Amino acid sequence: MALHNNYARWNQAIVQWATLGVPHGTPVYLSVDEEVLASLGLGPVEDFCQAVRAQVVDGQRVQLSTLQNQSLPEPAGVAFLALMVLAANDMVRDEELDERDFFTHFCQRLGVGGDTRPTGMKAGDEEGLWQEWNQWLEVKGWIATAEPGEGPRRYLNYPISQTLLRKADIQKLCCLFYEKNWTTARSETKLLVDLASEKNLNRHLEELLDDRQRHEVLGAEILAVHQEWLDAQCPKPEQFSRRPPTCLIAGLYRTEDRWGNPEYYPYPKVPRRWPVAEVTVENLGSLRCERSGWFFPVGAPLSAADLTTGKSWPIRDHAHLRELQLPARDFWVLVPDPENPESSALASWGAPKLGSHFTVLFREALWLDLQQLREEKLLQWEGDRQLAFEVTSGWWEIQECQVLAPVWDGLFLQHPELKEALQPRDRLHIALGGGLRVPQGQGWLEGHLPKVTVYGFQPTVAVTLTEVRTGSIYLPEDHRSTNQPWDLPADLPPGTYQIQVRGGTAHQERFLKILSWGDLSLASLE
Amino acid sequence: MSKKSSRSEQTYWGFRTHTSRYKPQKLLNYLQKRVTQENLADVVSHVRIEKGIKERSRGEYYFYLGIKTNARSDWSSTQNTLEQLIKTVRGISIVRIRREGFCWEDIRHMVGIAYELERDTQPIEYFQVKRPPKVNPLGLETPIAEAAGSDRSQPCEQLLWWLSAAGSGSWETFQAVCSHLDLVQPRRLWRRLQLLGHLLAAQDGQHWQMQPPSLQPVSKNCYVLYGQRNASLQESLQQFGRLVKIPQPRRDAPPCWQLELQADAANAIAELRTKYPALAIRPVEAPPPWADWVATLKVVDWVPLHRYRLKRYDGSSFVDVPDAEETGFYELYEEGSQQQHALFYDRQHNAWYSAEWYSLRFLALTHLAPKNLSVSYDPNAQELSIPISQRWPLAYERYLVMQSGCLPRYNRTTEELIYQNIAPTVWQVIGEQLPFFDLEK
Repeated sequence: MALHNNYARWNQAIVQWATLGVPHGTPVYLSVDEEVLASLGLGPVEDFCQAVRAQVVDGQRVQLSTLQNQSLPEPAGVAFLALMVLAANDMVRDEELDERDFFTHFCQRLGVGGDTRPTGMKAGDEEGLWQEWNQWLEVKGWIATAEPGEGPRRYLNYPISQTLLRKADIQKLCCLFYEKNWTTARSETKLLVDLASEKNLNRHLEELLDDRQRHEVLGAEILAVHQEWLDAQCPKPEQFSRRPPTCLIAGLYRTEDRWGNPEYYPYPKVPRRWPVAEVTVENLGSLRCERSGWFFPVGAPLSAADLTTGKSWPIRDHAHLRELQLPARDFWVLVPDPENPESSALASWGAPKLGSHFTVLFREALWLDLQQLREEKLLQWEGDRQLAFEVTSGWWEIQECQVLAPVWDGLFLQHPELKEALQPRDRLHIALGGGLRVPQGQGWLEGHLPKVTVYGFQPTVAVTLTEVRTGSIYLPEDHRSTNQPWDLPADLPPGTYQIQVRGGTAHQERFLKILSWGDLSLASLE
Repeated sequence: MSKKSSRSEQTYWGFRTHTSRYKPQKLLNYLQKRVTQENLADVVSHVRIEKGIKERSRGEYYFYLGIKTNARSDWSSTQNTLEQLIKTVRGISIVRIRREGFCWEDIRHMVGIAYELERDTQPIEYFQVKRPPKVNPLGLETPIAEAAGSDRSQPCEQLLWWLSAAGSGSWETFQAVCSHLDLVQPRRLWRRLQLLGHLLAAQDGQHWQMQPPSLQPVSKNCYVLYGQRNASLQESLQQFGRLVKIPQPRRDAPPCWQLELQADAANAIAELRTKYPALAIRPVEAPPPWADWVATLKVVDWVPLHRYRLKRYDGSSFVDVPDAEETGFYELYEEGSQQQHALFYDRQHNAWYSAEWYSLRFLALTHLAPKNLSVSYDPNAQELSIPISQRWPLAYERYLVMQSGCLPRYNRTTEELIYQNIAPTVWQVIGEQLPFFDLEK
């Protein structure tokens, strides 16, 4: 049975909202609340609930089978899952975490009676929808984040794991910005560090800040709220409402000139969750989309002074964007291209992954902190620090940096933002290196498979390799050494595979798509 | 800063805990939060915990705070704040073990780094990254790799399919894909693909872009396909005519796909375009007049000559020269680096120019001995020959290659490159655009 039109529209809009402007290789959260749903332009939240109800409820009975076997470009169950997250947000507002409470809110939203699982929706029936959503994200190149809990909270944890900033949290943040007079622009890391030292946060915000795995996305969300608050001229909390951003933020893109000297370019980010069409920047021209989350680097190489003081360029004739801004920073962490690791380009593509190498561009004042990290055997790099510009600029680089150890908690730096940026967020990381990638990050070509390296702090991990469609297991609980590359079975046929890794209490999974030469399509050329 | 000097600025406060429940990791997390909240990160540099506590059954353990006593001028109030902070740890009894601080030597055998707290964990060893040496895409590998009887047509075709799927990319990506497919001398292959019209490279050679699928007419109802292609396009083309795959002379590039249309060309193209909107008949354009081409050369703003040893092309080889005094084609070598640069120096304008290697060599020849430049044309065989030592700039050589979709044959006896399917009109265009040749000869 085909999806109802209204449901399909909500489903598609929510998928687009969740992934718009999110760079590949970074986590995606289905963190919808009433405000988000209202902002989609499809009607009030009640219409959304009604659309889900009409799709999956027959009388008082839930029928999730209506979401299965739909041939859509995106998973059909996302709007239903969004309603679960909405209920989880309702529940978190009460700061109670029990199953009955969740289902009370869930049933209310769904328009069925009761405070337990509704009729027709047995324990775990929805898990397949979460897994389908996770798989779709991973195959597209994002990191899935919905995960089960332990014991009786196994299924309840899926929607709870998706809740990020709720309305109450945003209000709390604005209170803090206002009371503490945070009226100048700050980086994600500075905001996270400053918030971590605040004593009067609500429980949900504290929990979010305690979960380092969420910091990358949380930092971006908090930065967006802070930027919107600044754009609104720092209003009182009760007068603040969310609105489209007025400035585009640029990261940094590093290449080398023909003589081997580093060059840094402004690298504009696509704003998360706000569709941006044509953008023309004065003196830099029109911005072109390079990849999910990023425009192409623009302009001439930046000077040391540009990095020190930041720089902005006016945006012409745009509905809400006014300027492109390169923020002033004391340091930049530049990582290799996640979609094209052979390239020597480095950029602000995200936090360094465990086991990966990266470059830190920093001002002189951070040198003592970096040396301390090396002395404590937490961080290592190759050779000496290198001048980034002329001697007097005060900007340096350390190259081929690598995190060595997991526990940074006992260390206090003069610049805690540096620690926030470099401290590993995961205990395990599955890296796929080498082989022949299918262009546009769509997987690998058969016969040219990547090597797998699981980076982690245990000597060994248990690895399972499963073909997703058939469920065929190619590696059953195979124990492998960490931090050593190993080959996949050479004769893996085209398909989608799931690599699952367990080490101690940590768990990671990654999807791997293998295509045949005949599957290669022609790229559309501009 | 050395390890010794950094430690000499700090002292350690020692503490003993009495509990079996308060795990060291929990203590660390707590201290981390409180030190940040109290803004004491400049005073407390780190925490060290007694080694081997997991193996013991008793619950008490020692820990030490690394303190920088000279970080604040108001040391006594800072000290009070710190002592208060320790007292606020709930659910655990903590006793300071002596009033004076310890030095590093006192405690170093007793404490470990934080990750030793957890059994079965180990640091990740630092590993060196082996990055391939940087290669200038505008240079050339010498000598040309011998085919040695191996047919590279298939991996070259795979390379072309891969590039077609990517659409555009960097020189480094191109190199990496060649390496995965065991294709040697990527810079020569890069040039061959440009000669065949499949891709265009940026002037600095750092990026490439595929051409859309295009048909170049080579005779009546017969076309050569250049630009993007894949398995699906091959299948579609075969529905409208006979698709012949002609291997390149040295089998070191993708075969020429020649399509003999059996249907009306306009109808066939219209139908193909429903599936491949970018596909079109695109006859190759004539190259620019020589003076215009010279004017397009990229000027290099700054050359750090002090870093390089120079060699200048003398018409047959490169010879060492102390500096760039004369107009000519130079190669720049840096001690200890595999990367070299090929640039053309124009003394009159005191300017350095960059372009692909053969273009600059030809430019040099036009300055050194323009009368020695030669070309011959056989109108009956419709073949054009030039000495291999005078290979033309890419823009002009591509015009010749695209007439047939095939790279030139090499005649070892005459040391000439021979281009096919060169119509008299093409020969005439050459004469107009390259003023060095007397076509009447």
